[in-house]
Amino acid sequence: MSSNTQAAGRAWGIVFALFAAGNLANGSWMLANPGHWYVHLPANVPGSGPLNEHFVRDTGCIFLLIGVALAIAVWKPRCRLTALLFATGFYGAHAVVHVYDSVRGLFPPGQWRYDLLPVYGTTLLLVILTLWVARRGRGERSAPRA
Amino acid sequence: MKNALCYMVAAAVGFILFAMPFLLYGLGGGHTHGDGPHSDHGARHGGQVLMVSDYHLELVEHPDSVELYLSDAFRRPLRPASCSVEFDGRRTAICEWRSHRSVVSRPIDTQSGLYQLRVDGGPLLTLKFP
Repeated sequence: MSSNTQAAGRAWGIVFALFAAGNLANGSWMLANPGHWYVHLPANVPGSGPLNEHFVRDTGCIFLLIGVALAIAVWKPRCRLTALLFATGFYGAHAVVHVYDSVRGLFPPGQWRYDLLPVYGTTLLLVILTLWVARRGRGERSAPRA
Repeated sequence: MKNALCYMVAAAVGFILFAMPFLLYGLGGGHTHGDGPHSDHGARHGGQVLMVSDYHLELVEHPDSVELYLSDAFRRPLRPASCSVEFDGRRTAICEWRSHRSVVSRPIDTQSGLYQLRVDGGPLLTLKFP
């Protein structure tokens, strides 16, 4: 394996490790202390409605599972596309829900502005990375073996 | 040098992705309203927001139709159990539910409408406009 390929593999490992850490931290926080998460997350969560501890924990499970899948992918490069598809599926569906709730008026006018980078921008980044990993994997599979 | 750049880009992308779960909830986005009921009477679809009992009704008037957006005290959208409009005291039209709003056709020369919406499991709301 060339040093370039090894460096690329390590760079992807950094991306997956950080992404996993974010999901694991958020999921653990939601599961361990929903009330604290609801009040102290640097966002306007109370603005989306009253606290429902059960639903916060339900959502925390999703983040935790995504975090675990991404963490496995750090050590097992063959699992990276699957883990990324899992994460992109969730974040993509979440972005679609934001579009729907903006269109039907659940969110106030101007919510698009707030969502543009945190929700839609990051989801787009995730889609691009998933396509990149998929293409890279296909290239590796089709490369002639030495 | 190339590898260092590669790691820096990876760290930057990784940092954005690290923050992504927290960013999902919007830094400064309002979603609905944390200040309690009736803290927002702004139009969300370019129409006029009217209060009926404890509910909000946004009317968006078009030359040949009216769109109705019903929401509760917190501006959470509601689908009415029934909806009808009596135009100029003589012609009654039934609303049609389309995707996320009620839509009713109206004759072009209409002057006023008596709107009647039944909240699912709640009261019958009656409003004359204008």
